[in-house]
Amino acid sequence: MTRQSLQQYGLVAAISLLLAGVPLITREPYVFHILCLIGINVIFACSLNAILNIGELNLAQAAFMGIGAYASTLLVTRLGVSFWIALPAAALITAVFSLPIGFLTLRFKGAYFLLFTFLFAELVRILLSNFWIGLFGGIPGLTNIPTPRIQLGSLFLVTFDSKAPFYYLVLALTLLTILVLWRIDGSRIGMVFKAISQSESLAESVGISTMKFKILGCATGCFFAGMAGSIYAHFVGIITPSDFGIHSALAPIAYVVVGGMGSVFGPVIGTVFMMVLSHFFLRQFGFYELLIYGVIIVLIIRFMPEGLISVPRVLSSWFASRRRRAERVKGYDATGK
Amino acid sequence: MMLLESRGLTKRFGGILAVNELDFHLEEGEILGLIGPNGAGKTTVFNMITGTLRPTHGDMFFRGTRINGFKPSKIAQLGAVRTFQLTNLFSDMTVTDNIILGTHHKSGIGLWGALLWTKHVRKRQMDAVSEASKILEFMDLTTQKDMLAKNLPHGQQRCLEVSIALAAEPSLLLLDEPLQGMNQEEVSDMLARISRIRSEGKTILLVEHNMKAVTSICDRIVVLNFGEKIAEGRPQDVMQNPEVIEAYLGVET
Repeated sequence: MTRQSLQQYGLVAAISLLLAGVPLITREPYVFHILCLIGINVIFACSLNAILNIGELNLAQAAFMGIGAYASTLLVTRLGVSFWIALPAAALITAVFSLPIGFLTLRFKGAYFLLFTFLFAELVRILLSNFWIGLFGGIPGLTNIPTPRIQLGSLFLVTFDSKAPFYYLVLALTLLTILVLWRIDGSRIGMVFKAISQSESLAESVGISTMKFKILGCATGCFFAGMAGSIYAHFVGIITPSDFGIHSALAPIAYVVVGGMGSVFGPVIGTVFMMVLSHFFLRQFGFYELLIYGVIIVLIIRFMPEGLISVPRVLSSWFASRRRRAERVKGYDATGK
Repeated sequence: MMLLESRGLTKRFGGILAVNELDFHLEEGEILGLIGPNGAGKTTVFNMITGTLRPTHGDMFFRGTRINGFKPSKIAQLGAVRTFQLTNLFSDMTVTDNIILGTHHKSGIGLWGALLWTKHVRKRQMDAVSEASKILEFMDLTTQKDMLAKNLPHGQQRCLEVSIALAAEPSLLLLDEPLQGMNQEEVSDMLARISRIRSEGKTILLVEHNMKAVTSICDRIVVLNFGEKIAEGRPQDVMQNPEVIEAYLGVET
């Protein structure tokens, strides 16, 4: 069983503190905007990875994010529920929604599961665009989604409309997501998930009810996807069905692959790396942005198939082999003379 | 006492009759060998008993419970645990973790307990580790306990498979060609272990091609050919049976 060491907790705490200090360095709204988007994408990539952990790729993950976004928005605008209740409620609704879907689709594996989730993603998009337009707003979606606020009496009021407070909100939720998924990953449950992804038939044959665990893993992933959707809706203020189509899931899948599938921190590193790269560095290349982006993904997959998370390991083994070769050459010189 | 019984067990794949009206039973505490030429239907019988395949018709009873249509995990929880013909391991995990997963279904570790790392779960985890080390010692894998399963040599991988099955505390252990690909020394070690497992009160169903091994270790043998039982009895009697000799060696014309 993998247990988290104190150093790892320390590292996470140090990075979080550094990130919490960002508002001291800059007040640029653009920076905060991008950082919030990165946070939301990190949550989403982690949720995708939670389902990859049971061995399946869910193309409908963005659709589940959409369910969270619509649920949260409708709770706030129609029922007047506070955002602070709507956020966990939306996540729960998404998880509950995923149970029957998981029950039906998780009995299929690999490409078949992929196809079913592809269908489900389209189904959700079409339902949201064409049915119950009075409720869902049709293709233009829902607008004027209020920003969250905290009010205690008449003295204390924080509105999360400016970017810095929202940044802290996203940071806190991202951290929460990572910690919970990290906890699961290190627990017996996480171990069973990994076992199922490596050999479902063996897990089943030693009495592990694999279907139950797969549905559980899927619901966990969808819970966080729904949470990401809820924050996204209140962050952007406008949601449309096309925000949550298949294509919206593709970039995060690339983030997960680049960062490293299977580990908790791989998707985090991948998302931060790719989004920082594209928003802060590649912007200036204009047309060539996506081209360079693609080349980087290909290079990483070619030379680091286990993702950026394996960089320390790859480097150390590279240095070790260089050292060995140097010693061999030296040994050869000595005998040659 | 009868541990496992099949009545009229039949499996049809389209037009192919893989197993036809098979009746056999296992007594508690015995080693039963299931043999037959390639394609005789041995693995199909195996897969039906363990719930991987559903019989076309016929019934199977485990300790008197009808187990037709049970999921493999349910059958394993009842106490019938199998190994696989082709090596099947949690290959990216350590040897110890592989065995701990074998103990999982009866560990009583629930979702919240696991997440909150409660005292109960910590104790159970320690129990699992100590049980794993006992099994590792029995299987002579102690020095490999921290290796990844995929890095073990083939013979030890086969041992690890049996270890995982043992960790699930079966009353009936179903071994699908456990000796496949082993060298002479590994074979005799494994046979000694199988005998010891039986002497600890477990019942064993053994599918194996190594005739010397089967006749030396089994109490009874059931011979299948083209999905039908052609002989049953003590090893020395079965080996004299002309039908069995014909199935294996062909007949002079």
